[in-house]
Amino acid sequence: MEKFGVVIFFFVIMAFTSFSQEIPGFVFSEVIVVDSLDSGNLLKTGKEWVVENGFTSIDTSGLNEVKAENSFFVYQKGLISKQVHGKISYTFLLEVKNNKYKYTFSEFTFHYYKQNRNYEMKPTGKEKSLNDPTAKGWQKTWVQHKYSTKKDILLFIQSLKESLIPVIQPQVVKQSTPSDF
Amino acid sequence: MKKKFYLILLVILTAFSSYGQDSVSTGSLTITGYVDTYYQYNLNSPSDRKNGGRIFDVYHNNFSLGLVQTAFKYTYGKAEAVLDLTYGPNAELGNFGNSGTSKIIKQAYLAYGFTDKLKFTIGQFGTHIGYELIDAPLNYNYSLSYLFGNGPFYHTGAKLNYTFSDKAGIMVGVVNGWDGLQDFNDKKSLAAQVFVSPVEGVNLYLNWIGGDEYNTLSAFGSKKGSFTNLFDLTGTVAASDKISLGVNAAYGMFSSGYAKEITDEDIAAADPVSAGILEADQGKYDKDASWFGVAGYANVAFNDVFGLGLRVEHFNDPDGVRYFGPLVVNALTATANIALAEGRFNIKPEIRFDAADSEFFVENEGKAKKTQTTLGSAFILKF
Repeated sequence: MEKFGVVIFFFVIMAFTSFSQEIPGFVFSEVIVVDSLDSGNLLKTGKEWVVENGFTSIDTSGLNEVKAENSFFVYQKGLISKQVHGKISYTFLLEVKNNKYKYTFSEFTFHYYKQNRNYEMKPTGKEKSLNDPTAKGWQKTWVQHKYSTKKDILLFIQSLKESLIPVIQPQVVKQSTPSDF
Repeated sequence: MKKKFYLILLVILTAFSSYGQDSVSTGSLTITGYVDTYYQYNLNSPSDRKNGGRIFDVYHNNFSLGLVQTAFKYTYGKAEAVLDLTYGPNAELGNFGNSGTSKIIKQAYLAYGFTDKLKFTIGQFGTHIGYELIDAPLNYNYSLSYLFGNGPFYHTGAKLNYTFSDKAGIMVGVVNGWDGLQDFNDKKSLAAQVFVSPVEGVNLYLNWIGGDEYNTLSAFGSKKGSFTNLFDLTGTVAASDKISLGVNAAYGMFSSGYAKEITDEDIAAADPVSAGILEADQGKYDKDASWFGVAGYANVAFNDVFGLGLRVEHFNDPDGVRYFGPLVVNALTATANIALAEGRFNIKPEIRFDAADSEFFVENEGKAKKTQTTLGSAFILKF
């Protein structure tokens, strides 16, 4: 009976261990503390940042948040030159509070493209979530697309953080006069 | 005088502004292509070792090279050049209206986007008519439909594309005619296309070409004053992530230009030159005629490696206006699609059954037969 209990315990532990080892969804999210920037300033700068970086479907109707969408082409290596293989779209959410903000890049989706008669790459309508770990038949390209996506998003994150750094105003040094003394 | 000066200044400034815009763009060159090969076995074992009614996959019991393509696309700012060169048996069949070194040119055109919506194209380009293409990697079925084989393959001319939005666009053009780099006569044909995408995943193209195409290689008779209209509807529906549907329907009308059918007496009474023309057109092209066809496509992608596609087609050319002579035929084609090497290498096993209403097909010892079944597989590598 004791052995049975140990086996059960072992399986339960294994199950939980496996669960914790699962790769989380393809999401980039972080809470950043920024001293001396209130939510209004953060929201204003965040709005400017999404516009400057070409995001679309910008939604600023939320009280303390900015939602937007973006996409970029991903390529497949050809024999001689690289070729468009598809497009990856994602959503961006910026939530702000006084002295801190949270960014979330999520819902990464690969859109299949196909060449048409005019040598233009056009979407086929078929999609695949980047949370999907495998792409049967084109795993190497799939991994490459995830790598390209991560690289692009990390650059965006860096740019966002730089934009939302509080600007330190030079302190005005008041000229002392003998009477102040 | 002052007005003239301002006008010249404006033109110069406009020219320089356009130049300035182009100079900041980065030119890019893309080189793509494919090689396709196939083997087919015709259960009729035709004595001439050729499959009946086929355009490209013509050989029975023969390991065959289909086509080798190298396509260069160079983009510089708003300008674009496409050079699509093809070699091999299907290149000769596809570019049949060209001659000499031009025989390898499947497409060679220049395009310029005056705005994001308006694009001008000039040169030799693939036809806007039809669902299927010469390029094997872009078709689901390897063997091509009767509609493809009996429509135009390419045109040489100029066209304007205007895109209203992702959901609608139009094209108008003027071309030398059907399937030729050179104009075979002193008449031009007009071409047009309307594109609409009423809902996401549904694309519809209504295509038209019309003109007097006498004396061409496209079998429209010898009389100047004839007229050919071809209307074509092409549609695709992405029914789900796994299922896609397609349709192609075409209706062609040929007006011979003769007031009545040609008789032996007409030929006898004509001068020698006219008699030759009348004789060539007698019977086949001395009367008005029409042809039509419809094809339906259903493809299922079980995953990114394996899929199945079905094509059902009816083609009706009772007067023999098109290439295969009088022919009314139904065809059913089932094709598997196996994508290997990251989707670059495709194997397409295929079975096709054709049934004509007359003894159109050939079997061994040269006997005629109403049906034909072929089995085979194509192998395509894209690069």
